[in-house]
Amino acid sequence: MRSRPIIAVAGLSLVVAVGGAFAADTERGGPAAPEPPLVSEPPGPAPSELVGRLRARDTVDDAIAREMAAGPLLADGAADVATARRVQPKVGRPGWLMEGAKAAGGRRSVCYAREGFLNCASTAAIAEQGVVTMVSTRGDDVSIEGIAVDGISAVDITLRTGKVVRAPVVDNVFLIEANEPPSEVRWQGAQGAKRQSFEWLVRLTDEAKAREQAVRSGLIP
Amino acid sequence: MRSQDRFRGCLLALVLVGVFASVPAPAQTPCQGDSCLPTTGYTYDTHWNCGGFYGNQVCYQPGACLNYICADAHTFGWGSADYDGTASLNVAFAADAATATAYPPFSNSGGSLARACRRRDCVDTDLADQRYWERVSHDHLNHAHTHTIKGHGKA
Repeated sequence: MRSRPIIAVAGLSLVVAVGGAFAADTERGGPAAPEPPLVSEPPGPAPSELVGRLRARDTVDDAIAREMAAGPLLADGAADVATARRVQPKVGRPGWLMEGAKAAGGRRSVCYAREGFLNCASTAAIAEQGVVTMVSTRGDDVSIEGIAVDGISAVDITLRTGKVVRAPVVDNVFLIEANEPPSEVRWQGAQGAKRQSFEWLVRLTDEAKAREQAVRSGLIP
Repeated sequence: MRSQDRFRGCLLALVLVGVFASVPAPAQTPCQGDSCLPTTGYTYDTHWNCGGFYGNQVCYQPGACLNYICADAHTFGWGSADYDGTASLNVAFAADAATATAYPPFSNSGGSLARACRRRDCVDTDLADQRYWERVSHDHLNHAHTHTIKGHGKA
């Protein structure tokens, strides 16, 4: 009976020590747990099988502006600008959908470029989820937008205040402008109702805002 | 007729000079004209990563750094978060103000590659008091695996 508290204290000490060592390691960025191996994953469906806008006939309007094609978003060949199709969400800025450069293992992707932003998602992820949501910010301006596969007509975006905004899908894309990040996005996919949580992004946003206030007020030099 | 034409020409020139003199020059435009591409102006290019890290962590430039305290500040105008693995996750890139006078922060997330420019046209401004910390992260919470997200920044 007497030995139990001793064992418990020893065990707790070990947990604290291991935990402390782990925290110290992760603060420096290591050690890295192994990434799932890059085995022969299927490359995913062709982008045009999922996104009807990419099947549309190429027109003069689809050409990406030279400045954007040669700029830092696209100049390194992250996406194939020759496949670009101009898209115009129901509201807000236009953009361009295009095929992404093939990744390791020949994995395919779809990219979405617009004023100062670029996102690419694997076609495997797009096919699995039906929707890939992007959240971009400049200061207090928050754009919540994304790519939706054929057959999805709208997504419901819950802002962190609880307000729900329906964003129609036009040209396989959707967009709403807000001044707060989303907490959740819901949609009806081919396999039923789906949702994506953005609590992780809300937490990061809150931490960044607190830090920014500290920097601007001189608390962080 | 010739003297009248000259007079009209001089008058037109004076009006044009007056009009253009009253138009303010665009602020902080590093270059203009057909030869000026948006990449002009970026003189610093950096890649970083932290090895594998969890979804509740963030990885700062210059790498091997999971807290802004060890982050380097630069006059960043562009950044990128890139995941090359096979897991289905979303990456995020963000540039946070590192100086009190910095422009507003900028960020982008979603998919396996997310890139963002401070300006809509992606032109760099490179002002000494506009310094940012850049960081990358991912949304794979509650999973046993860490993931390596590669950061890339230009200033």
